[in-house]
Amino acid sequence: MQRPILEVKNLSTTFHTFRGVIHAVSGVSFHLNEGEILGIVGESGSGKTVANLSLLHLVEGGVVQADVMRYQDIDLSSLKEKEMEKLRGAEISMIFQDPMSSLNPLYTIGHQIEESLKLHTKLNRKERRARMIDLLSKVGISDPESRLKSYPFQYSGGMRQRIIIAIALAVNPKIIIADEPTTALDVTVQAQVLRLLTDLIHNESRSMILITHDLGVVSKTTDRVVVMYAGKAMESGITKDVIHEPMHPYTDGLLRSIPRFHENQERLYQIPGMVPRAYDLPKGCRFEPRCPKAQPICKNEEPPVRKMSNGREIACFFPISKG
Amino acid sequence: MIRFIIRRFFQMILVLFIVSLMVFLLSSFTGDPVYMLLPPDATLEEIADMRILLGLDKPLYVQYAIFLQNILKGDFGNSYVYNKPALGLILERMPATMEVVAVSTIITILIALPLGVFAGSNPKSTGSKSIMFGSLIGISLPSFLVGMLLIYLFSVTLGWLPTSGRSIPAITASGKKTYFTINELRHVLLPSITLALGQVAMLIRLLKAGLQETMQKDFIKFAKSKGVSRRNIVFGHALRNALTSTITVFGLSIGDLIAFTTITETIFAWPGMGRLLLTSINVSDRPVIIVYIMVVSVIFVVINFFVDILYTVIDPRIKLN
Amino acid sequence: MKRFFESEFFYNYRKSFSAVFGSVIIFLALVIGLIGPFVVPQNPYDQKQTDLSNAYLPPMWEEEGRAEFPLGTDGQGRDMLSVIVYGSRISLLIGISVTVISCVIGTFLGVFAGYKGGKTDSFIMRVADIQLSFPSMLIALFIMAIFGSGIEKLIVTLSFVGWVMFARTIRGETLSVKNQEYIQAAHVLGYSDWRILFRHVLPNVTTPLIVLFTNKIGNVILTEASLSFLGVGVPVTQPSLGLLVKNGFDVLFSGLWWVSLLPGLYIMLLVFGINLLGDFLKDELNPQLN
Repeated sequence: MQRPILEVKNLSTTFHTFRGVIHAVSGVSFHLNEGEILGIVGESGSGKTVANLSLLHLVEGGVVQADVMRYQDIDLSSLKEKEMEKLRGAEISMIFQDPMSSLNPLYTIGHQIEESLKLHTKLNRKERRARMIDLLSKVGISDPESRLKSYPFQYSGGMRQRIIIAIALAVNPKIIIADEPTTALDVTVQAQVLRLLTDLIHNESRSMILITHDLGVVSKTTDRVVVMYAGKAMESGITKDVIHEPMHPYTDGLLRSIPRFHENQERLYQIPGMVPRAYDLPKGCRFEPRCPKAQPICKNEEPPVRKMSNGREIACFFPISKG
Repeated sequence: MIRFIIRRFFQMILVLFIVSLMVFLLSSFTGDPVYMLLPPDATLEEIADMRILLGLDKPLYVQYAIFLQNILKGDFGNSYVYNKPALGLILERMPATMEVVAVSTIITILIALPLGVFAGSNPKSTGSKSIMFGSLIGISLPSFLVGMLLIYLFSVTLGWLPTSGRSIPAITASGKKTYFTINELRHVLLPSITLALGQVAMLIRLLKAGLQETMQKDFIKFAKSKGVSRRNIVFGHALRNALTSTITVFGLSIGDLIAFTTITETIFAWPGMGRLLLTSINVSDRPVIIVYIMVVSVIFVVINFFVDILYTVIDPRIKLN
Repeated sequence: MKRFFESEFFYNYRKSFSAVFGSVIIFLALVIGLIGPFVVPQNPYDQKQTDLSNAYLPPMWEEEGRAEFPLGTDGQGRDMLSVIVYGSRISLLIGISVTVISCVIGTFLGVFAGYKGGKTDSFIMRVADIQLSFPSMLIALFIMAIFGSGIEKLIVTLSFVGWVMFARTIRGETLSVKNQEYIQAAHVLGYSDWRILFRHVLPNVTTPLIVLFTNKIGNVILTEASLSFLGVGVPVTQPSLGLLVKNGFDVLFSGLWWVSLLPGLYIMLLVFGINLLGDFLKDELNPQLN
């Protein structure tokens, strides 16, 4: 089997605050194969964003530790800030949730795309211009030449997210980390932008980590998926397997709480209880207080990660069996 | 742009009109200048004559109409004390005041900008904390105390710098005026530092707060993820955004500088218009006070005008209208 | 109350040296202002208790200083310690009362303007804007120059200048609260405007009020001191700290530093203490910066 382009083992990110130590991410492992889209799903506060920011050393005020944090042959955890700067945007770039606030309001679109090109390429002014026009038309912006001189406030959310995608792709990065790229957009625009994004990934053989809380998006776009809860990975595997036969009670609960068109649901399922507070986590399995299948052992011991067939991994003492 | 300037011009006229009305009304409540001008043993007749001479016998609105008419002719009346045109008196002293204000502004920018940027971009560092602590002392210091401490230290105790007065530009043997001689600089230094200190402290705090807030914005995170270096994040992305909130206050703070020249000029016996204002207040020299207010109002309106223009240069979202 | 002592706010307060230090200064200054006159050696404004032959004695730690005048004496032979204690009362009185009055007026106008909107709003804010474009020191200076010195006049003048900051901030807060859904719900429920203002809007603007209030007191004390230093503030018969500095200024050049610098340093210490606490409150109660 091919070596993954990105590999993370036992990643933990902690913050020290007034309430004590907050374990935003504790011992999460995942990998990204070349050319695939990996989904990371979880509720807000599950640590999915922090985990990815940790990769690029973008977590402020937090302590990041990992057994392995590797991109190609580069050990990410040992990189100095200067070396990391060369990698960010050029090899791995990010797309954030809110397109309305991700662009600097005081600079033109052209300036902000060109910034990446100036940083990471040796293109001259003419070549940069050609590249920018090419990028903008690729993300579906008409009349790109005149658009370069306009400012972010002149655009709608969907258009801005397209521009952000153009910036993220500017230097041909191998990996895109997209953090809820469509959440802040209108429903009608969401599908378009997601489509654009996945097409650009597939057509140019890039890889992507898609962070989302929307299982619908995951099942439509990703190849593999990691389900996170309260800073831990609960279940991971090929998306089809996980969606069709969830093994972790949490994944199962999540799937059952999605409203469906064609089925006659009398009442939507709801996972009982609340997400535990980050400074006050349960001792055993973090999902135990809300788990319908919990046993005494779940309260006292953290379930180890079990490897199953087909690359499936699951952290549960009593997984749901097939059938 | 031209429309903006024209609009602004009329706005300025309106503001000046309101100011003149307020000033006129308020000043007519001040102590009767007649008693200031005449010896205490003046007869009733002499007093009445004086009133007529000054036009004080007419009803208020007539006095105001005459006042306005004269203003339009550029005649603000004569100083009761100096018996010279009040406008001339003020304008004569303006260069001295502007000299201190200009030097203080330069000092303010040179010190506050780097310190504020440093404190705002490394808010958790020891350096930043010391800067903020220092600036807190700075905003707690009454400016007269600063001036006095400086005089006591550098003039009385050490004897390095002159205690007071201004060295006017001298004319050399070749007939040329010399500007910014060492002697002039020695005189202007202490008053300017006194004037600048409070502004430096305030501007540091403002810049730091603005920068710190900007540094937490999403577009900064996005820029970082593009691989922009820390230096360029601060100077290229964050500073300009932080300046949008600072620039208005900075414009106002130049106004504050002018206001505080009254104190600084008093302490350092600096022959500027601030000191003239105070002596005029003490003797109820009404025309001089009025001219001062009008002149200063013009200055503020002009400053606001430039701040607005600067604002549109920095922030494309703001249109001139 | 118990909840307050267990809160994050109180925890941070206890851990912040500068906040506690500032509070101690404020507390001591208040105590000195309140009971100081009963404790100090003399009433400096009672001529029977002062002796001209004691004029310009240096503080006790200097060579010619005497233990009965720990901080020296001024030109009238008054004990500097007593003079400063009496002066600080006046400075504090003006600082606190001006802040309270500006706060009440400013909050009322700010909430009113923000809640009413429309012409009321634009009128109040236009007045505030015009006033703000002139340095408050100058406006106060002109008004005081016209009406003459006096503690009450000074309080009125500084309050007239001071309401603007409150009004602007509170209006902004009110505007953002006004559009919250629970306020609109209160409308739908048919509550009267006044009830909504007092029950729902006002409690929401208390946080910025606390911050503004603390910072304003220091600011007022400084402005008062400056005006009194210029001779247009408090009357000569009731000298505040600023006027004490002015009175001693002329003899500074002859090396008699204590007459002016000591009251000046006391102002600084007082304002510094207030600003320390104000700065802590600003950081702590403003969620935007951590």
